Amino acid sequence: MSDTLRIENIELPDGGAELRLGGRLTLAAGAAAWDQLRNRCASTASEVRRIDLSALELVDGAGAAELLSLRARRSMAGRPLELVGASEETGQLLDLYGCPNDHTCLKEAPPSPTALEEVGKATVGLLENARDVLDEVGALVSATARAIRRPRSVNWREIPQLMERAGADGVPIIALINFLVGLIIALQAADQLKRYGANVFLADLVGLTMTRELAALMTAIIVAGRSGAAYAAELGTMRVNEEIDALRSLGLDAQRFLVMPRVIALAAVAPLLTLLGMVLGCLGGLVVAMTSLELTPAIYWGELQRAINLLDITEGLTKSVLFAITIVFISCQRGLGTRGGAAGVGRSTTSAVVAILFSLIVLDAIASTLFNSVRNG
Amino acid sequence: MSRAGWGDAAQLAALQELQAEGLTLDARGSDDLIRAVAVTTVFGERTVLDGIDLAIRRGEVFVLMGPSGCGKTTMLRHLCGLRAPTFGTVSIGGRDIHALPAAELHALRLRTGMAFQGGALLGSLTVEENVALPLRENAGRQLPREVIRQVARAKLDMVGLLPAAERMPADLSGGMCKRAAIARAIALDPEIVFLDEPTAGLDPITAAGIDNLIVKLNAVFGITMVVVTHDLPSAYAIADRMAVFFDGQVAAFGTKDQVLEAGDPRIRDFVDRRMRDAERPEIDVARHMIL
Ligand SMILES: Nc1ncnc2c1ncn2[C@@H]1O[C@H](COP(=O)(O)OP(=O)(O)O)[C@@H](O)[C@H]1O
Ligand SMILES: [Mg+2]
Repeated sequence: MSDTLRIENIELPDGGAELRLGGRLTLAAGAAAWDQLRNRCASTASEVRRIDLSALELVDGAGAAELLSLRARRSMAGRPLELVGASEETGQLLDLYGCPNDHTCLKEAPPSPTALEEVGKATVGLLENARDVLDEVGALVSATARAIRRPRSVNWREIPQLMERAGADGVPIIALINFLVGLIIALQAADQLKRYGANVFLADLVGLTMTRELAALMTAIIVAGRSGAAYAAELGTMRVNEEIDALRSLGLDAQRFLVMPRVIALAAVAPLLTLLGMVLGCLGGLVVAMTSLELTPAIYWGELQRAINLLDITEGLTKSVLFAITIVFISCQRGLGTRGGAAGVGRSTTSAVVAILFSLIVLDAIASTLFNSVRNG
Repeated sequence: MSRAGWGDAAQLAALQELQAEGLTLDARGSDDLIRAVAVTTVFGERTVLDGIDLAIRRGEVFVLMGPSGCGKTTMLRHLCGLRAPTFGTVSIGGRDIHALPAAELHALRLRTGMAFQGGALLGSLTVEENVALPLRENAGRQLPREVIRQVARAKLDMVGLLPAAERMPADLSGGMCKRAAIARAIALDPEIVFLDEPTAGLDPITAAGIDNLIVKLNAVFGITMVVVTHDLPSAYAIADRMAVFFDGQVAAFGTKDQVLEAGDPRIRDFVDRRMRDAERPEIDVARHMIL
């Protein structure tokens, strides 16, 4: 007994041909055997009308599927092919795969969409998405209004834990990142400043960029990666497990029960983290000031005090609150909108983080412009 | 467990107030509590439900049956107000629930309970906290903590889960999840409870226990039960009346005998196959199940 397929070609008296199969028609018989069978069916000079299975030792599920698909293909082309001589087991197997006249298994895969279709679909998707976002904005605004009118309706008990997770646990990484950012800015600027003898202005440069801009932004980026992604995944999983529906059926609103506590927690924690970031960023600058610009801490500190005023710090803190709300909002909206299983949760998380980062930069640009006009006007 | 266990008189009064609050749905002089008219659901290009009419009476155990994927869960979500059908209406107590203002829909939700197919317990809370959640969040003038705890534990006792009260949902077996979900669904003493596949995937003994629980909750508290199942022995054990769905339509409707004797060959086939599958043992689980 061999693991191969034998094919014998027999001319029929009426001009057609018959293939007599022997050996094994199994998955193990290998790709070569399958190709051979197809080619013989397609290319014999006289058309193959019948396949005789009586000499086959073994047919497995894959073999049966192949035989049936050959037959279905041929009958769709209007040139029927007969399968004869099947043993009892083979016959049962063929019956099991069934559907002698059903060609659904041969339906062409739908053609892949053209570029134009893709663009159209993406546009419609974007519009639908925009409507969802508006719905969510509305829901969040009404939840906020309700929370202000009836503070008791907010799910306060979850907030301390959320603040700890988003705030305290994030302190080391946020401190480190902001320190390094301050250090890097100072390093890049130090040479230039030294050339003009403007060493002391390093404090202005680092201080202003950190307080107005970078502490809030870097902190928000870290928070987006830590908490934003976590919220999207958490709410997405709850959606997939019907937990969100369960909450609704218990008369609890997801906005009120899940989103509001997160908004409050992050909006409270983000300014504190940002303040920390500002301090650490300035410290990063100080390291460079001392090592390569020969400034003393006292001079650096004095210059910082002169350069930074309250408005600069307000700008940074205002941005941080704005960023925090954006992060919660987008991550929760993506999480609650999750569709379809574990892969859906992954998609929501990715799209939440991407959308958050994009929104942060755009918001930052808008806020900076506004604050600049306040400062100048 | 005994009623005397529920703390002092003040706590009991608070509890009774909670339970008495507006717990009558106006049926407008009709026996039908829930009515679905021409409910049609289209997902994308697929019509899953195609003009379903149902009438469910007050106080009965009504079973929705049919093969997997025929739209039973979808129908249940329409009936309990979680999702509006593409066409058609669902009314409870004579009012179209998908046209209710938000506040009234909220009130209605508090008077109905739903147990989801997979349990849908909140993974971050213990079993007891899950059952206590609707009490904690919805009981208007904040019930005393002790009352909430007592009520939650009483409900868990009813479903035989008191020993697992402190466990997290992830640590429960399938049958325990379903029982916990039922306990949560009845936490606010609803008038209507919707159950999605309460016995699917359970061994016959556990399944019989849940059937028993459903029947007793119906008998003792008069809760109207709408149960989705594809499990025929279970349907037979609990149903007052039932509807069988096929191809998005109601293929048979009526008392269980009417349905089982119906001539429809698809139903005969469905019924015969299911009956051969399992001879459900009769098991008395009453002792730890109910008050
Ligand atoms: N949200 C949805 N979007 C698209 N199709 C859905 C959705 N929900 C259910 N379906 C489809 O509707 C059909 C009926 O689903 P379901 O009501 O869950 O069936 P059953 O509970 O009877 O097994 C299934 O084929 C399912 O794929
Ligand atoms: Mg279902």
